[in-house]
Amino acid sequence: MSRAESFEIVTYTAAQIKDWIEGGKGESLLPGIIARCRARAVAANPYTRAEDPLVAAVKIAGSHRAVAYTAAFPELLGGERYWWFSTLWCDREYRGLGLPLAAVGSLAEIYGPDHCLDTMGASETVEIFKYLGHSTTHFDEYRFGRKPDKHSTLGKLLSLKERIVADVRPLCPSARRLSNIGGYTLEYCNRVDNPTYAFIKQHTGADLFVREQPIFDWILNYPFKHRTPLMQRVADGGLFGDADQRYWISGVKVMVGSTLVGFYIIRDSVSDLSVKYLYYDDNHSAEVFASIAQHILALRNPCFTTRCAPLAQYIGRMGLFSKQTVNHISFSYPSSFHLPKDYTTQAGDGDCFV
Amino acid sequence: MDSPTRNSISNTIQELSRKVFDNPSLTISDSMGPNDIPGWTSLTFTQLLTEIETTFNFKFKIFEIIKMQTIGGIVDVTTQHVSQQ
Repeated sequence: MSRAESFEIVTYTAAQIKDWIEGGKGESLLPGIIARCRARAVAANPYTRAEDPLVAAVKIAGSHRAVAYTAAFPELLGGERYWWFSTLWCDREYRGLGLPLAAVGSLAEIYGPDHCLDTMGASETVEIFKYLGHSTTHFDEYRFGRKPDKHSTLGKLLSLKERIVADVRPLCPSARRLSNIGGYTLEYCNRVDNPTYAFIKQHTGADLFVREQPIFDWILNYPFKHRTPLMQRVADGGLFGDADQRYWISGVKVMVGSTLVGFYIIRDSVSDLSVKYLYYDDNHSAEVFASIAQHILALRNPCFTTRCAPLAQYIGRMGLFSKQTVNHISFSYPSSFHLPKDYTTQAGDGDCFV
Repeated sequence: MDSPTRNSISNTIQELSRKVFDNPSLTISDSMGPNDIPGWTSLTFTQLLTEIETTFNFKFKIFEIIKMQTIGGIVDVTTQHVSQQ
């Protein structure tokens, strides 16, 4: 039986989204279409212009109800703006009608399909981008889970500390005198300064995307508020609420003495740690990987995700997890987009992080 | 009364639907939609559009997609394109 409703496609510009976030004009337009935190994130992208459409929604004609929407954000690659599609949603009741395709297609028409990229991963999104003329490839992402139970945790901790020290000591003579894990120090940052960015560019290896410095600063300075201040206080007080829903994004420099040997961006919550970007000096991989293992140890029953194969091998050898899987993450790209042989990607590529 | 062109287009779309929805005995009607045809999902809907475009040599406009909630809607839009060729 056919539906009685008719639909319309509506797009929202960066300027309209900012107005909505700030509580001004357009107050009735966007609730239920996109969360404020995500809207704030995409609108704050350093390559966004006020007139850029960032969100497309399919609404029931004559109403404010959105039944499908998509959002995208720009990135400068090789001097040209490309658009990552970062979210796609369709009301369960309205699936099968091509509404997500209509939402994506409406933005792709404006951006130019040759400048649209997607790594959202669902088979439906792959089909949508195939319809738009894209090709799809896949890359591996390593996921670890099921940390050993409490009875073995202490033993694992002790053996891990010995293992980390053993990894570090041969490389750093001064570390032999240390009784704790050492040989390196960590500096947390919310900006990528020029020396760090120079290090990143030097150690991008075969990465398909070399991120611009403003993009890193954008990622590290998202406003990640997922609750009202009251709910946040309640969650902090431990009365009720799920603290596991909170997460942080941190930039971490790994220093051996005064020398930067590694930089990574991690997204971590109480139960999940994901290495979104990782750049390191091959001669100091032990220190860098050990520092990431330290972060894992600090979490309660975490899952861990990385796209760096050497790091995954290291974590696997550590025995911190009982389960490891390899997910094949899709990447849809236009035919004009050149994929070099043996390229690598970072887990943060195309991720809106929200 | 339906024009012969619409009827023949509808018959062709029925054949394409049988292939996409993997049902050789499927018989379509204008009122049918996602709830009436087993296997009709977002993915198979997109695949059906691709098959129609390839068969009739045109591209659907994005705004037309939201008009095609039923087989009848799909046939109507396809017929408009074919008649303009």
